[in-house]
Amino acid sequence: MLAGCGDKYEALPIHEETDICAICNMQVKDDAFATQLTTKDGKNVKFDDIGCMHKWKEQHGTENIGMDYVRDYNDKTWVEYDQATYVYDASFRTPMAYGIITFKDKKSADAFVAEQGSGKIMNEKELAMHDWKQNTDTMQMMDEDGHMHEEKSSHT
Amino acid sequence: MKKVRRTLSYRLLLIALLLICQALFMEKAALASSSIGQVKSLQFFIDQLDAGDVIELPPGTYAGPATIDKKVSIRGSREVMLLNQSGAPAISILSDGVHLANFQINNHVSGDQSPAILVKSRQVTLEDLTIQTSGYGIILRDADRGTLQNNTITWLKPEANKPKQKGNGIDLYNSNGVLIKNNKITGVRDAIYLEKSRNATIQGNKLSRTRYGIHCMYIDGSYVIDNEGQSNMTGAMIMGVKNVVVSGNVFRKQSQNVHSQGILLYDVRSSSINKNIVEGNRVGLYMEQSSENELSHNIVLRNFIGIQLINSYSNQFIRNQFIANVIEAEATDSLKNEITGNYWDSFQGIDLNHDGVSETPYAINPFYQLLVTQTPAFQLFFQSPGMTFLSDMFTNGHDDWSTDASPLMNIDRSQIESIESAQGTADVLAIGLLLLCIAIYTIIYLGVIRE
Repeated sequence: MLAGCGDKYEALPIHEETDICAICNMQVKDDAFATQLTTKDGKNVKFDDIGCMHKWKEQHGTENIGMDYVRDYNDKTWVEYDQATYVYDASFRTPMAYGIITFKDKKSADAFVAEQGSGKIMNEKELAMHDWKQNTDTMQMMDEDGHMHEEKSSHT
Repeated sequence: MKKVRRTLSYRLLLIALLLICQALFMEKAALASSSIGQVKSLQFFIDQLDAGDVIELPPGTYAGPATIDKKVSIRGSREVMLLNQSGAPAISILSDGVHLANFQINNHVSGDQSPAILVKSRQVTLEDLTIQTSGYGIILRDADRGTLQNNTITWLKPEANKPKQKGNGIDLYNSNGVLIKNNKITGVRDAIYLEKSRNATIQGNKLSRTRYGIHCMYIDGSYVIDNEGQSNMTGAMIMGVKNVVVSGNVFRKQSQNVHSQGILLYDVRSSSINKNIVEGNRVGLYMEQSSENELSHNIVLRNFIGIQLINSYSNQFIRNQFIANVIEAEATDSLKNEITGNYWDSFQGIDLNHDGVSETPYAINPFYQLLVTQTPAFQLFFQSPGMTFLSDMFTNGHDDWSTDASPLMNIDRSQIESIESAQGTADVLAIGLLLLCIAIYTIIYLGVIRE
């Protein structure tokens, strides 16, 4: 019985034919960038990029989430969100340009960063402080950087 | 006597047929043997060239991969075929101003990353190429001001392969000012994929049986004009863009997938979407989280859902025509949109002063959409009497519904006729003439002469 309770939530397989991201509407590819969550009332929601899942949480809150999953970059196994290790770099290409790649343990994250020569390693708590900036060049330069420059200049 | 003559003529016919078959077979065999016998290395050929050379490739079969690191112009012919099974790109272009034209590339790779042509330099022109690939077609990386025109890109492996193993037809990243014109792309993942590229012009391309016909991600100031898409999962997927013009495109029959759309706009700002035709799609126009766009003079025809608005505000919808859609429009959380002078064919307005514009507004009831978003299974009750009744009863927040203040009373015929005439007459004429010729032939030769 207890074990049954523990297994209440489980990650569902990705069906590329029918799964689209609940936020950006793009096809969810069965790759390492796919993420998903199951709400406490049993509704499963899939995303093509961890950034989209973050956006969903901003819109809907996190109280009603039963379990959320990300995938290991190397073997695509589903990892619980708070157990995963995250690596961010603006140069990493992900479906919605959030630039975050996930790993099941810190060791494989370290290996990836060593191989790439760049990347900031984060755990779940550090990820909560992340600014979730999309590396979209034009958008950033015009929207965010542009604004930042304006603000800075107006203050000084 | 007659019988003998007839059997004789049958025999002659049979012999002639056999001869033709044999000739065809011989030719094919000869072609195959020549291509096996004399495969030349393209790299060897390129190494002989100096910068600035303009040459014509002699007919024959060449083998990839090859790297072009000097400014050359290479033109082939229909008999030039480049075979590549190496896993590396068939041709890598590293030098500015390279010009390739008019030959075939057969890019047979197992990994989906490998393209037929990889461009990493500026002002490269690729035209009249026929590319068959089982990876990507053409990839541009940091390659500004390139021109890709009149190319044909098709998927090489049989259709049974799932889209996840496919590559994109034309794939741009960080490449500004590229012209992509009059290409034909079928069967690949995304026909034309653009990311982080400014001022691209995508014009007059024909895109079919792909995942997304045109897929824009984070684009500024580009033109998507006069393209034709058919039977893709989604015709144009326009995401995270600003200052883009989407005009004169035709997207038909995007309906096989449960998430198909003609044109999808997500996070689109300050753009103009006009004079497009979306016909026979699951959803004609889908717009989410987009603002300050102008949608005008679009024709939304025979879709399941004509237009769907979600969380979009401050857009203008002017003079669009919604004709014969099952559900004309759905709108939720979309405020401050200016909707005027559109034609909604299910709407019955009242025109008191006979100016062709209804005095009563057309409001889009969000009831059904709200209901099925929360519980998709309620789609079973689509247009059941109960659902229609409840929908009519529902007036909650009526002032916030998306509303066309002055809907048109009649179809704007000038727009519609121009489409239908262009589409139909040529085909009908051709078929008619063909039928006439066959009829004349049968009557004269089988009827009159035998008599």
